[in-house]
Amino acid sequence: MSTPATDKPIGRVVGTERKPNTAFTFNFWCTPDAPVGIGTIVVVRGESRTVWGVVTEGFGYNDLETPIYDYIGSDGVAEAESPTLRPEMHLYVASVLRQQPEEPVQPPPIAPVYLADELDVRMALRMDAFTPYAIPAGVYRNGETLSPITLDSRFLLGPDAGHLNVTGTSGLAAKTSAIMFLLQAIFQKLPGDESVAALLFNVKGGDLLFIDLPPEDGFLTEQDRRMYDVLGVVPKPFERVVYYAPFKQDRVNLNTLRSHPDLRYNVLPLHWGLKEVLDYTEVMLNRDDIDVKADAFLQFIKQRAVDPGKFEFDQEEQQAGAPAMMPVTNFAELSAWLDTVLRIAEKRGREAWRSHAYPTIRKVYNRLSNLTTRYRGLIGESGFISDLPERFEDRTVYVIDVSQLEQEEQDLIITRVIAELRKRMESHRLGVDHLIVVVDELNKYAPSFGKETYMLRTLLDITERGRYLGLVLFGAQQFRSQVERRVAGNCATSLYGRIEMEELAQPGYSVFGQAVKEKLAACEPGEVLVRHPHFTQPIFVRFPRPCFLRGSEGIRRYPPQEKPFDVAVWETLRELDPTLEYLQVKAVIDDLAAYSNGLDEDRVSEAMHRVLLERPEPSRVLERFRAHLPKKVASSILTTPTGLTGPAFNPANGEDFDPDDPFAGL
Amino acid sequence: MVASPTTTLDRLRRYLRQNHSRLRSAPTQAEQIELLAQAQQSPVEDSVASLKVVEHATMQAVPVRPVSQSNALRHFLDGIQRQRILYYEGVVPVFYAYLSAVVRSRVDRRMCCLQDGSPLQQRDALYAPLRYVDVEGLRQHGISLRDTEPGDPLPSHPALIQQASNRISNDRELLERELAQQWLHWLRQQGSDDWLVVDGGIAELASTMPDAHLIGLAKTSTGVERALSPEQMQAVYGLHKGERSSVFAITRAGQPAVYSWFLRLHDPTKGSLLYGLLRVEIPAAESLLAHVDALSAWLMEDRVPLSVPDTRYDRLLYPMRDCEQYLRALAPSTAQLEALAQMV
Repeated sequence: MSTPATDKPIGRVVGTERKPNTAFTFNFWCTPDAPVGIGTIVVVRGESRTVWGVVTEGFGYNDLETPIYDYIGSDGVAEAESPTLRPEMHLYVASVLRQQPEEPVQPPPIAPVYLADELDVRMALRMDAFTPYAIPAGVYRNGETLSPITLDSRFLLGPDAGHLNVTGTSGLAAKTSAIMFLLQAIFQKLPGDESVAALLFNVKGGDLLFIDLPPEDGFLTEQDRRMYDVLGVVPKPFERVVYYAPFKQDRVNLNTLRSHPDLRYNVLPLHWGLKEVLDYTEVMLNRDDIDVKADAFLQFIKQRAVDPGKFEFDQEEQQAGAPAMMPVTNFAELSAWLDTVLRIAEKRGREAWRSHAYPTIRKVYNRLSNLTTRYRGLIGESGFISDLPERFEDRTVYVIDVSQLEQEEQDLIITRVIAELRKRMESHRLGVDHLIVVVDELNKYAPSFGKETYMLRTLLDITERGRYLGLVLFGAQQFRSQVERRVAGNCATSLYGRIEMEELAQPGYSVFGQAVKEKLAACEPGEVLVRHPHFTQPIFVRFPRPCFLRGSEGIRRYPPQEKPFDVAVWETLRELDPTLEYLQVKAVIDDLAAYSNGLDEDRVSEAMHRVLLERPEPSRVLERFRAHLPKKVASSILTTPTGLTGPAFNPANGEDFDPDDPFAGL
Repeated sequence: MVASPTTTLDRLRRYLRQNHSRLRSAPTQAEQIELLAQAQQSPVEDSVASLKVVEHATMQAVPVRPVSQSNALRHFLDGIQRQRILYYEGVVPVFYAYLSAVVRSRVDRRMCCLQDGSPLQQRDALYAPLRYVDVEGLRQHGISLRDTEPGDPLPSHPALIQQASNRISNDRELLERELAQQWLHWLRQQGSDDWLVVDGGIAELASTMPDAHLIGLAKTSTGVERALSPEQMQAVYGLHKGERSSVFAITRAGQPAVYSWFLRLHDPTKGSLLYGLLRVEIPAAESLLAHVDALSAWLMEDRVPLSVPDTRYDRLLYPMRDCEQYLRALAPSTAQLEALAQMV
């Protein structure tokens, strides 16, 4: 504990009939040179009562009644200097943070006012009540003295309260930096018997792609280091980080800026199949596509085909040419199944099939078969799945890089991941006591206007119940006023960085006084206003820059490297068989190119994914890769049309059939 | 040791609590204003025995020009009194009066109290013809008493008020004089050439310290004006802004002579004939005459800041107003005295 900043009072409480003190606010004067400003914590020491307060408004006075007197006195000469200066003072309004004794609640005594020292700050913010659960959030600066400001983990991560909301203008080191520093503090300071993990989405550039690497020399200033020291947080990068990214269009290279060979060791593909995405057709398909009929058919597909993994046709359908049973575990199989269904319907004169109209079936078929093209790097035909781990690990950060993706792909990933976390939360399958999920641009996913979406319902559920079940939302946005009130309102802790005046004019900010709003509008980088259940009034704090490599510097130091197609395939397969030689894989791919009239990358990537799905013994990787590629077909020149009736069609074998193809069935 | 006003008020409160049934209540503060104004209607103006121009052959206007020396008007002294009839003992009005005086010093252009020189004097007491009040009871409570010495028989009610008011005013003047003397001694001990500026005349002070750096500022000068000849009057009232009159010596009965001059601080076209017309006094020492121009120039500098909203702002220097404001802030409030009076 440091010694008190000063024993000398800086002012005195004043209360007049016109401007009396109340139990919640009080007025005090100071000399103009007193180090007091908006956000300063002060303490009133009366004979039998001590009152802590935070300055929320300030006024400057001299003894001039109206400006005209000064004008007359100086004969209208602005530079005129009088031999005597008028006495000048500052009158401040402070909001009461705490009183001792707590009862009865009274207006502060007319007594001297002091600057709060470290002990006062602890008392004022009731931080003395939760020392074992303290999570450093930043420092309160009183001149050269820095006092740590901590949050109660039980009110930040649950179960007493939970969730964090951060508001701030983009690019001013408020939102992401504040969250990343807080995550590091949580990882280091949360009691060891509580496990915690974090899941982040990297939505732009390389911001969060190098958080496991130390920053460049001199990145942390002396002031940053002092803050780390005061807060007892070690300035270091995150020790355990796993990155996820979908594939690029070639389906072998990962679509991330963290693609330098030196950094590939902890980057995993994010790749989903049919089962993973079928619940999210609302996100993937155009709203006009999903009418009531289409939705009903989609539900039929999910419940009757995809969830069981197979579909059994009835006798009548089999008589129409359908097999007894068809597997439906991936998009390729779903396509084949839908083909069969359409064929049956056509054979019946394009009537409804199992009460679903033919046009509806065809529309759903068109939309679903298109998904693997639209979400090419994310959704595959084969059923190869690379998803988040079954159970999250303690003190580990999971970063999903969506920065290089189109908007619709970003939306699908974020929606599906959040929903998946919610499901795991419900079934207690998170694997850690607290999983923090960080969602930026919350106003997009939980908007205050418009239709209630699946995502909004999910976020609402998380913020309403997540704290009991270990799932905590750290949301951020530029405009809090545009976030659904219940989502923001459920966040027990809020940080406010620099905010534009237009936003501050919204009704949600009316709880702040004008001076606090003006300070918010001019907040410096690294400074935020904190609201927390233990703090009676919001407090301005500063936090150090998080200690990891910035995105721009990371990209400069580790430039992204896209590998040639065959090299990327080799490197992926080598994860299953480390002895695999590049030339072996290249030879297989070259062979295919030779007999297929050019390289068909789709076929190769599909074969690669099938191998990844199978995960064969290392010695059989190359063999299985070759097996999944199209086989060379022996050709001969036909001299007579005899026998051109074509093979019998059997969709169960995965054979293609296009009812619109006039040559089909020949 | 002199009791602080707060202590006296506490003692009075206790006394009144014990004796209120026997005493009679005083008029309210608002009602007293009229009573006290009537008592002060005929102030005793010190008539001037002689007035002689010493600088020139006749009274002239002299332009005041800026001087190179920095302003040495460094210390300012003023006093206030706050009084009210607290209660009646029979038909005898008993006054409570609070008197105070302060020297405020100008340091780096800011007014402050220098702690070294004991700049503040405060006194308070009950003023009454002591023969007619419960002296013993009051003394038992440790309350300071001042006798207004009415003589026999008991004078009329207005006369009693007049006597008490005069006694209070005299005590206040005495307090100011004592503080001025003390401060001038202190300045001399410090080897300082600074000037002490006081409110009003300085003749009494000059009698004990004839060459002190002491300057008095008179906002009203009825006596002196009466002593001016028509030509002198013409010259004085005709002063323009930034002009002073010739220095003249004035003598009052029983007092030593002082040097004096008029100084026009503000343009009279903005007000009456007397607008901005200040009369200055210094001890009648030949050596001090050399300072008249510098003193006038410094006083002109001190026209700003204006002492508004005080109605006397055209003649009241800002540092003098600062003294008054300081003392008013320390004095018992009207509400306190009113509450005390209502105990009876």
